[in-house]
Amino acid sequence: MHEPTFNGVYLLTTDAKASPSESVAEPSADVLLVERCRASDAIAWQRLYDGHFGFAWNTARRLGLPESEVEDVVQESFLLAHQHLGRFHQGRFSTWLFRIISNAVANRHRRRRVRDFFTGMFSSSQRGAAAPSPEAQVGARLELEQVAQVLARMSAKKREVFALFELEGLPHDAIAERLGIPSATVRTRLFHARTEFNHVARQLGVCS
Amino acid sequence: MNDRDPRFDAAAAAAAAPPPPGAQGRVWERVRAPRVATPWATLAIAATASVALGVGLVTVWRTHPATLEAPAGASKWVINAPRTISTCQSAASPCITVKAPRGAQFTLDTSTEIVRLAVQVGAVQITAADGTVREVMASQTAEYRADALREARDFEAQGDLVAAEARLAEAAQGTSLSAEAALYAQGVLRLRRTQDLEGALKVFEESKARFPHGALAPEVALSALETLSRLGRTAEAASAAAAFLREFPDNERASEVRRFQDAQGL
Repeated sequence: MHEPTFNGVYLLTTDAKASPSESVAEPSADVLLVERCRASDAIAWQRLYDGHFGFAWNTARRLGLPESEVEDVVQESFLLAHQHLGRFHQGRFSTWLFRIISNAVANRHRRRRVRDFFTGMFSSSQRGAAAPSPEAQVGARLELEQVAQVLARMSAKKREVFALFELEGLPHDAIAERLGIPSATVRTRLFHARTEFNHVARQLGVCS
Repeated sequence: MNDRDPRFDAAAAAAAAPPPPGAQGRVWERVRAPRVATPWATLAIAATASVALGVGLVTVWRTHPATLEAPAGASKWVINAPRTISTCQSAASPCITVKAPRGAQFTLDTSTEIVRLAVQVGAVQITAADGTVREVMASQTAEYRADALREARDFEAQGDLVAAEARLAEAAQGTSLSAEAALYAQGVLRLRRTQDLEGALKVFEESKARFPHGALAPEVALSALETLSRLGRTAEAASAAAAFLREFPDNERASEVRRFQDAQGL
């Protein structure tokens, strides 16, 4: 259940369920903190922030955001979360925050693709020449920045599933809970995400 | 399907690394007192005020290029801009540039005979003084820009850098957004492909002079900074970095500039 905001960012109105593998603050405590935040309790807001900063940071990284942009996106996400706290009613704050971060990251990727159209158009051939050949990287371990290059060009839904499975290591059921979709959909989406990852990676010369 | 691909082990470990020291505190300084009012609340206030004052109202909230004509009969527009960039042209002046930080409001006095307002940030809704509401999603400027750049890229792909630059120089004439984009692309061409750093710097300086508050001003400033750095003009690069952070403190690439300053020991 999504609700559009003024700039195209979508926020869950939330029925977010708990994910067993999350290590962030305990959900019922979060709900209480959110309630206090709504009552303009600055200390509650800081506790909520402190309890989820690491989660927000790692989520943004796993979704393929360059480290140079993570701070700004985490900031944007917390500001948006604070602005729309009224829409959070139950469940895990982290699950709700994940949706906000994922949308913010998707916006960044979209803007970067536009920017790259300008700034990268005359350097693409140079980058291509410098990149290792696909053959040389068959079976090689992929570094985060290489994976991020590919994730940035994937669709948002596939990027989410791919990152949660391959980078965060969540099982299918936990991903289903995090994203609010059936487990079977997670498996299907993961299959297509892997296909898209390999396709984009080949295009970029990242790996085969 | 059920097992993780071990190729991603290194990436997964890197993504799970804790945030760098100080990051949590830096971000907290920026989110500790968030602005509570939504843009729509701001808009409602602006709308009420504009109706009371009999002025036009322009609201910008999406992210597609747009061009619009000045509303007939509006003596003044109040613009609520959730993003930074908007540029207008006037009959009296080749290019009047209006710039506002995210969420700010500003006013255009149409006594300067504004004939065209090109807004980088997309669909624009105008409420004129007579109460007429219009929404514009035009993208002529962007289409033209894309065509010119695409042709230049084709030339570049064929190895004809002279033709690519000539096409960009041709498209860079005038004061439109497409001209600004073409001029910037010309600088990037010199910087990345022909390695003409001095030439690139001249183009970026020209862009700053012709489009001081243009839609690509942050990109131009960053490219000029990079060029100065590559030329070894460290003092000027340091000055450019400080100027960038002063002018665009909330830019998404400000953190890169701060890291540049750190690396330079500034």
